[in-house]
Amino acid sequence: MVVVSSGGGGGGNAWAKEMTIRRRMASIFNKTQDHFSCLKDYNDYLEEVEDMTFNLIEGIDVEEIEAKIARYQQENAEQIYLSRAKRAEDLAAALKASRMNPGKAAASDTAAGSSQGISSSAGVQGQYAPAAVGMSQPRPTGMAPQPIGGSSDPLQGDDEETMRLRAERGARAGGWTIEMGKRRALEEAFSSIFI
Amino acid sequence: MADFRTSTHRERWIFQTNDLMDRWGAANQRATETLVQYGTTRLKVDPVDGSLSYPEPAPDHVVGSSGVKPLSCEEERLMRVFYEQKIQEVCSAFKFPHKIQATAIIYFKRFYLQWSVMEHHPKHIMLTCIYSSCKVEENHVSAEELGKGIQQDHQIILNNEMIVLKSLDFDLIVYAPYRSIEGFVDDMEDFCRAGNGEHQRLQDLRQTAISQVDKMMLTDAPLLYTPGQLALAALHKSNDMHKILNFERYLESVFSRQHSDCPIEQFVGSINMINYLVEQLKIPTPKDMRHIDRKLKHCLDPSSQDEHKKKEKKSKHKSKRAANEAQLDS
Repeated sequence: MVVVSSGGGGGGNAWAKEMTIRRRMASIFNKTQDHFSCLKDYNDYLEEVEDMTFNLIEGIDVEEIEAKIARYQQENAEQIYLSRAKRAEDLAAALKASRMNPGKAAASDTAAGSSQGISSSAGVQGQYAPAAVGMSQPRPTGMAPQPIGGSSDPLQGDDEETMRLRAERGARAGGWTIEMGKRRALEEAFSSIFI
Repeated sequence: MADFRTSTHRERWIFQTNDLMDRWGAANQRATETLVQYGTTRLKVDPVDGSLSYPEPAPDHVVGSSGVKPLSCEEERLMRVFYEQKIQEVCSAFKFPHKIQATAIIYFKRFYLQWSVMEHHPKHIMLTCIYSSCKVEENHVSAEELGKGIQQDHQIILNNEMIVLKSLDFDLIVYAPYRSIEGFVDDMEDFCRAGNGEHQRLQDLRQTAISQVDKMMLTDAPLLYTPGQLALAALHKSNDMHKILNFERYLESVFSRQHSDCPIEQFVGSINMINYLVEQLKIPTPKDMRHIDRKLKHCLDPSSQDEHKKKEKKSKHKSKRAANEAQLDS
């Protein structure tokens, strides 16, 4: 039984409201663990921020919390600004690293094509160069290395025969074969002839 | 893998004809007594847990007054068949598989073994049975989508869900003859040592048998016989049309592989009885249903009868208009 508490629109609005509040809180209370001397203090900070966020979403003590936020914002203005700037720099660096990767991948493909072990190894190592230079916190580059020999996969391609094979192997991977359907039909037929 | 031999379908939901008559009679009698005592038969259902409360007596009701007549068992039977056929139409419109259609019809039949159509309107129960069947057979359609497709309020579907499930004793796995037909047709290929031409004719046999089962689902046979028996009866009928094999010899072949005490003559009798039930089936037309439907409406809502009488008095000098209004009431 589905108990409908409100319309779909209401649900969507509630979700949007929560996300708006959470983004605003995250942009103000943007300290990281580096700002704290021990893990417990950092966790206490996170818990307090979550309590305030929850109360804002639920509409509890809103005025009091807004005053608290304004006071915190005033007292920590410089730290907030610096943390936002650092985050922006990290994001830009990650994007730049991600944008550099297609060239590296192409080089890697060329190396693989030449079948020279040393060149291939150099190419693979080169993919991680951005992470080794000047970044204290490496980030995923967003693009996986191309598998060597990928083009020889027999199930790649969009033609009808390949798609049928792929579907068949998918079903078999799940444990099903066409014989199972037949066997089940036969079993049900013969087991239900008599009461 | 589901097994019919250990199922509740086999254990609890296959009846003798007398049992069916008793249960339908008991439901009809209970509804009639409710009508006499409260002036209406409509039961209020709590949508959260499916519990019931008896209706408020009509303000002007006198216990024992005979203002409204209850439906007879025969009228109830016609109404059930009519709405079972509606289930088939709805499932066809949504292009549901045969299994969902059969499951919904079996749920509907089992529900009205417990209740009279005077207590719960079959138009609403039908929708809830389809909705539950879609969920059980892993072809979920939301109540909103179902309601939208047939221009009905989806809340009606949800409000009745719990009472339907409770009335089925939550025995939700049911067996329809369609898969049994597949099994027997595969077996017949081996029996005939079928070549390519025979294979095509067996597929025609299968299609005709499936159509026969669709009709069979509207009779009482699914409550009286097992899916295997229904499948063999349908294939027997289909074979009479297509003349593919000697069905008697095939049955002997099937029986020789079973360890059963049932003589083959008795089994053939069951098959003939099933096919007889199908031949006797008459699906009521909307015109046939008009009178019964108006009668049911009065049982569920007695005040509508008074309003109807007033309309008749106003227009008794204009018979054509009265006839039109009668049609509009349907």
